[in-house]
Amino acid sequence: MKLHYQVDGDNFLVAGEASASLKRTLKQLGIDASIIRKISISMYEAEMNMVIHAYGGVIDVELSADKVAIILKDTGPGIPDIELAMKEGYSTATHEIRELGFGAGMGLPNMKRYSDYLNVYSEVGVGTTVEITVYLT
Amino acid sequence: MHSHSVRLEQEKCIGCTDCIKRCPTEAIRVRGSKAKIIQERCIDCGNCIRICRNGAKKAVTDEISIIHQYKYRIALPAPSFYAQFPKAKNIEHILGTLYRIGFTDFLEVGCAGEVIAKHTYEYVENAKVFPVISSSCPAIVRLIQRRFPSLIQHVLPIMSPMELAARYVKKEYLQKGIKEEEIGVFFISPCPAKATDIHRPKGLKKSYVDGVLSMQDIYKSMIHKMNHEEIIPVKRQSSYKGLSWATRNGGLDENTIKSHIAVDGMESVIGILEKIEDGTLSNIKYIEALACTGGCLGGALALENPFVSRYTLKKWIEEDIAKEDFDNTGMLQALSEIPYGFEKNITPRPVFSLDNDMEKALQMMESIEVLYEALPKIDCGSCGAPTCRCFAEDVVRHDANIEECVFMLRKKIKDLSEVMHNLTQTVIPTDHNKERGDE
Repeated sequence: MKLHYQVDGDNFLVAGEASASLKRTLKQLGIDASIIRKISISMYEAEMNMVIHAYGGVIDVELSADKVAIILKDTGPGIPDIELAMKEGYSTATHEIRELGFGAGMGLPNMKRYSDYLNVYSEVGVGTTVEITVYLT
Repeated sequence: MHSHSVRLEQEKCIGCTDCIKRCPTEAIRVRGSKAKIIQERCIDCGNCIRICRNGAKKAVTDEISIIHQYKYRIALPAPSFYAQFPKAKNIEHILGTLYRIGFTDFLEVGCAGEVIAKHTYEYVENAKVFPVISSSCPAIVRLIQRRFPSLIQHVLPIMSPMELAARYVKKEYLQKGIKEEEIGVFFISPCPAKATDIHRPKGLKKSYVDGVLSMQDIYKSMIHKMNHEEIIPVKRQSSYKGLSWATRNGGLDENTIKSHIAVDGMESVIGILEKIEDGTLSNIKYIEALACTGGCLGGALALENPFVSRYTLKKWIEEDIAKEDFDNTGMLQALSEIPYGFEKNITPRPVFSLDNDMEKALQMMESIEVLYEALPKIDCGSCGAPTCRCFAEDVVRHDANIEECVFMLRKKIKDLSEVMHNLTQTVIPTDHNKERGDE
């Protein structure tokens, strides 16, 4: 089963709605609570990153009996050094964003921690694609 | 078997959409012009009681008369109860009047609250999963079981002040050599959730409370007896700290637990629980979450506006703070000796799950998505479900027919009338030649 979400980049009020919607779907599918938690945390982080850094984008989710595969695509500024971005505490967020409680530099590390598979492709000036997979069994 | 404490009065229900829209677990549908509560989804929060303009939703509590089944009749008044009497001379006046309506004794729940606050503080200091979520509001515990099962491990495994108070009373009376069947302990409740809680307690094998009486009922019987010349003298057990439990939306203040959020009102609580699930509040140590706006003061069985109540209670608290010679350390010490931990685990109640078989659930989910796309998505509620998405789920679960959506029905009628119109074009008109012949 496939799900598609459009993420608005300039609206913090609706940021996280795609994650919330997926969470609801996963609960209805009767997926184990601890697995839903892993998916929620990693997808929420990735969705917030899209809003903060990349003016939004699109999220495609593929649900099957054994896994949840999430692909987040944006056409934002891209990440120059992915290895550096994966380090805990590293952040490029502006002061304004940090005031809102985001941009603590835990986004990518948290995604890695809570997903079973994480892949980040990025090209400066072109955009970033994040693939998150969580296995259900 | 006592199931839920929110019931529908059929004849008063006009089949509007007010309650279905406000239910936090989508537990109500309008079917055949009457609201219907889906029992396994209901968390007894009382939102529908408050919202219904026809008074068709009723909280079911025990009749006051049941207290006379016992020789010893002990009332458990909570601080929220005192706030319903802004014109009383003092708290002693309120407590003394309890004797005039048939009680033989009382224990202020506030002092049990002081002890529970201390236990909570110790638990949070040594907790491993953060934030810890308070368990004193039964509607919130039920909400977590149904909508946020992944947060069960966050729930504070400590009983409510009401339960601790009841256990203390029972122990004291039994020690005096009184037979168990002669002791009746009654909580004066601001909400229906507490009534359900004594029949199906969360985390406990059984409740020691024998009956839950509505605050409104007690108020009605007491108000006529408040004008007595003499005030029955009583000894207070709770200090101002216990009373504060109800004003600060929770039992703890910033001085005891740092990094603590107090949230009240169902929608606000859901917002916070969503954030905990997304992992964004792990820096917070403790969450005091209460289902009603204004906490227990805003309960569906309270009489006074919660903001007025808060003012009244503040007045009582200031009076209590002024009592310099008041000392309840002996009482608190005795209460501290009662075991307070949960006796069994809280289990998830995944009422939203479509099917136990994942493959089947996935198929159903796909059908829901397809159907939802065809619906108008305006959540009008005419079908009896709170949202178009919820309606799509009901149809796929075979709990509703697609034609119950007025938009789908209109489309079907239009399609049918087109088919009929087309049919008329294909039938040979038998009178046709005759008409022509007449010309």
